[in-house]
Amino acid sequence: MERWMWIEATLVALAVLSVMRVGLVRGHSEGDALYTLRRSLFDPDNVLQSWDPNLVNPCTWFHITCNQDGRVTRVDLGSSNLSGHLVPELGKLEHLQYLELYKNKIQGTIPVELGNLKNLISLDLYNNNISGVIPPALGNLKSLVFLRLNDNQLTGPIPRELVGISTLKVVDVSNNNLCGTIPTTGPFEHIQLNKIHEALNSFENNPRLEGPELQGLATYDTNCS
Amino acid sequence: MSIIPCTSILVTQFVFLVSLLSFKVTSSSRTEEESLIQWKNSLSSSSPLEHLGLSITLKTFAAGLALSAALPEPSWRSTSPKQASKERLPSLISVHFLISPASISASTTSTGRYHQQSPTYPRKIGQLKELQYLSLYNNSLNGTIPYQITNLQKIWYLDLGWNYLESPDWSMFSTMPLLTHLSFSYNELASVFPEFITDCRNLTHLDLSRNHLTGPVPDMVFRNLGKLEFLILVDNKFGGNISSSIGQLRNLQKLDLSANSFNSSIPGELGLCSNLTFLALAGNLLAGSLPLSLANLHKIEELGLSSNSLSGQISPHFFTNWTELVSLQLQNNHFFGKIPSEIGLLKKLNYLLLYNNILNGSIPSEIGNLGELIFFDLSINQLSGPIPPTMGKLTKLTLLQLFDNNLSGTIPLEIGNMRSLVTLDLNTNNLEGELPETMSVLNNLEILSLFANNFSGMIPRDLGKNNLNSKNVSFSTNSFSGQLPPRPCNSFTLELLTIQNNNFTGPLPDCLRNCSNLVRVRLEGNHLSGDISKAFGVHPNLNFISLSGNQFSGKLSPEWGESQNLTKLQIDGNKISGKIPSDLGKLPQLQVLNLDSNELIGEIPKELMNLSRMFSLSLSNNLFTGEIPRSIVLLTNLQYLNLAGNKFNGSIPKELANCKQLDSLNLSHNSLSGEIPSELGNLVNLRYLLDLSNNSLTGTIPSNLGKLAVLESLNLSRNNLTGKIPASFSSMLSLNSIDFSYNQLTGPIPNGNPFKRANYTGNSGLCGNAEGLNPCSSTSPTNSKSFKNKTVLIGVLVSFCGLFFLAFIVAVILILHPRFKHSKKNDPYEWQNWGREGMFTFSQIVKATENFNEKYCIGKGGFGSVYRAVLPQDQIVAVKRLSMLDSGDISTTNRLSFENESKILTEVKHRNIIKLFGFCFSKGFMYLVYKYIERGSLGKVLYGEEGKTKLGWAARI
Repeated sequence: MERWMWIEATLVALAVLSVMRVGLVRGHSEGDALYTLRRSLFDPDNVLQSWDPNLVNPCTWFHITCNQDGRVTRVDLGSSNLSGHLVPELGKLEHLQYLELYKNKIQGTIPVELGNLKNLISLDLYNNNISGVIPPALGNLKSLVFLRLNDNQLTGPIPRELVGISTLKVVDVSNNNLCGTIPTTGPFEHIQLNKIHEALNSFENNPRLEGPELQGLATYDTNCS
Repeated sequence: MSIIPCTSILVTQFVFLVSLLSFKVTSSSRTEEESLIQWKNSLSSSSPLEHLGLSITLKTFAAGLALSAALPEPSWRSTSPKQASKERLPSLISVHFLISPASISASTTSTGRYHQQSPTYPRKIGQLKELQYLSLYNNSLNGTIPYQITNLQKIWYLDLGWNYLESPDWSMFSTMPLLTHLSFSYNELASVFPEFITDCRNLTHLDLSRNHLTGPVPDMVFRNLGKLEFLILVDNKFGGNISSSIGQLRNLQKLDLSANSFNSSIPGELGLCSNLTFLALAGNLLAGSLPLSLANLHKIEELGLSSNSLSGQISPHFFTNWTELVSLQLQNNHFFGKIPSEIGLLKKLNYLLLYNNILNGSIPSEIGNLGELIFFDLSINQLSGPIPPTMGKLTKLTLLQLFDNNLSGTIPLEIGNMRSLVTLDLNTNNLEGELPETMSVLNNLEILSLFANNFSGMIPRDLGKNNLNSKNVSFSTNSFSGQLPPRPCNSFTLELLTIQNNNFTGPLPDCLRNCSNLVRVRLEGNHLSGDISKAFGVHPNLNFISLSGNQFSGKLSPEWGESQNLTKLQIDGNKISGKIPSDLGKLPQLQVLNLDSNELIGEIPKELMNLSRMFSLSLSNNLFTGEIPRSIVLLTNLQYLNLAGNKFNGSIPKELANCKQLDSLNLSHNSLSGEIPSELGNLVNLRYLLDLSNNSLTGTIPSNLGKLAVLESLNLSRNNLTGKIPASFSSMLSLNSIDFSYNQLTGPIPNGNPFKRANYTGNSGLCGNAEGLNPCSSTSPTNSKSFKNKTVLIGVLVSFCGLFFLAFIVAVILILHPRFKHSKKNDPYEWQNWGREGMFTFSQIVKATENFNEKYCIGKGGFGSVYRAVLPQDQIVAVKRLSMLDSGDISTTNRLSFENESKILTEVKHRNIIKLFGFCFSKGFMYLVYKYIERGSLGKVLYGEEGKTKLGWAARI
């Protein structure tokens, strides 16, 4: 009898393990990463319903676009009534070009790992409840063109690492709680100048933001770290 | 979890709530009796106990004697009560209190579980001093475990498992010297390891599983409890090392430490526990390799080490010694190297799970000796070579998973002998050739997954014919050709059919129409043909179907409307004709409808606008006619709309602007006329594409479109648009591809870099700084590049002149004016100090000048004004603000050179040159921040009244 019991126990264990297995897309780390995101988000409108971890890759999931090789290039989840947190695993989507999560209710911080997305063109996290700092690691996004983080609760400085992204064309960090000064070099030259005629400014409504940096020998102590 | 679903069922059939075995009649029986009655009264429902006649039983112990002989011993729970031996049954007077399930359910809960509500019972139980056996297993007792229970000094069996008991203060507990069986399993204990247990030196069975116990397992457990045979701590939060002292438990038969957080390596001393038959360490954080000493576990039958971080090679010595193994589970670790051929010695093996490791080499042909195998899984490794034909001998195998490896060669003919196979998953390897005909005889097969290999040729004609249970068939991403077998779904149980990306030809099998269980169908990327309306029927569970890129013909059947769970219907790239049936509007879950590139005609049925979950609607390249329905506004979740390449006419409905989620809109290549509704500018999420090209649109481009700040691609080409391109377009900062070609647009092009690269071909009236355009005449200077450049150049030059002039003036003042000559403030050291301490920001300057209010203005020049700003630290600076209004096009070179010069100036240390602290650009102005020097400008000094007196001609010269 005891032996019978054990085998039953084994079967139960197997069942559990198989559940664990289907919990992640088989051998597909991009699917795993996205499924981790799904589990971290609250999705009252069921927009992530099709994100089935049993599928061999995430390319048929709704709001996901893949390239020819089955690698994820776009995540289009703007205005989807999502809350919850972003996950570090997003940094594994190494072919990702568009991360569109604007106009949701996402909380928590921007994972440092997003700095690994070497092919990212557009990082649109605007209109959420994201807090914490803008990770300096975003300076590693050497393909980034659009960085829109406006209308969140971000704090800390605008990392100077962003100055090194030569492709950067649009930056909007308005309506946050950033501090320090606004970079004026590198791509920020044009970002500043582009907004000359605009009533709205890419940096406005950050009460602690001290305006453009003064270049030269004037040093700063803006109580911003 | 290892505890007994089956026992619990048996137990509930008998349910003994209170088993008081070996209840000796002694002189103290009176107090014991009172204790029991008191406890009974404290139970929330006393009536079932009275049903049992507890008091009567207590008073008639003689009757109980007979009872005890008649009933089996409620034994250690890992065995069934029914099978328990009676060896232990002591020749003592025993009393059993039994409660039948019926009487319990009649008066208490339907589960037959007791709720102990009053906290008074526990203390009394300690008075049952003669009690030897107490099982309160599987009730609903809550509260803390009473320390008085350790007063039961004669007890040898104590089972409080499957209740809701919480951790007491264990220090109140004393040792129970005779205790051999102790279980607190499946309670709510949340403490460290209860210390009193380490003194119960006679324990043979200890089960603390399924609690929330934390911390290490104390060494004393291993040192003191040398008689332990069963140690079960599964599913707690124990952590730290598995102590090497564990080797002292020489009598151990079953050790289960699964699902904890042990993070050491596996101690080699575990090999000393040579009586082990069951060893489970799965689901911990164990690292390191398997100690070779484990080969001493000659009796091991079940070994579960899965889901750790174990690594190293799997030594062949293990397999020469572990010949009793029934289950070997090493999956989800980092084991590498080859699978030793000695694995063939494990003749009793039922379960062999090695998936998700880093194993390489080939699958040893000796696997064929494991004739008892039921589950065999080597998936997600780096195995290469062929599937050994010897595997055909595994006639009991039900599950064979080898997916995600580098296996090559063909599927051996012998597969036909594996008649028990239910799951065959070989996906994602390099397997090739045709499938053997013998596969057709696998009549238990439910899952056949062969996708992502190099298989070719035809599918065996009889595949599926004998199979009554097939649920999941996947041939996708291979090079299969020919027709599909005629009866792949003979029993209509098919749920998943994915054969996309092959070269299949011909019609779909007839039986598909009747497969009412279909959930997911992917046939895209083949050369399948035939009338689609006959191939599919009503599939109420169908969730996803993609038939793209085939040669299907016929019409869309109204029956599609019956597939109520359909979320995606994708038939693009076929030869479907006829109209869209209005029944498609009955699919409440439909989110993606793609009918691109067919031969569909007619109008878009209004009913489609009921599909409120739809986010992607793609009808391009058909022959659709009529107007774009205004009711499209109902599709509020629409993100992607592509109606290009049809014959839609009429105007673009302004209602489209209410589909606020649209990120891509393509209406190109139609016959749309009228003006572009300015409301389209409200589609502020338009990101990827706005394409209205190749229509007959007239009128001017609405300036409201300038609000599309995130749009990247805009195509308005080949229409009849007139007037100017709105200047507001210069704020469409994200544009990257712009096409205005072949319209009748006039006037200057908008500012900004993207517009320099736009396509303006075929618009003779446009001017501006872009390839193929003439510069605008000087009457519109703001858009003339050359003029602007000049302005900028002049601006910069004059600024420089102004700057140097200012510096010069001040220098002269300083040189000439004796008061400044030896001023402390000009001492370079002093200045450096000031520089370090004088930290200020632009916003402080803005605040100090009330946003450059006139009243702080201390001077004006041709290109800007100078303001005096008193900063919070009482530092005073002079800020020169130079207008750069048209510097949007200032060249980077010019700007860089200006910045460099300014930087150099900020570094200049000369007592006679006024200090430039810094500079910046903001909102169209350039700011130069100087140290403020009193006494006004040189001009005043030279020409003013005061100067006349102070600076005589001698001084001036």
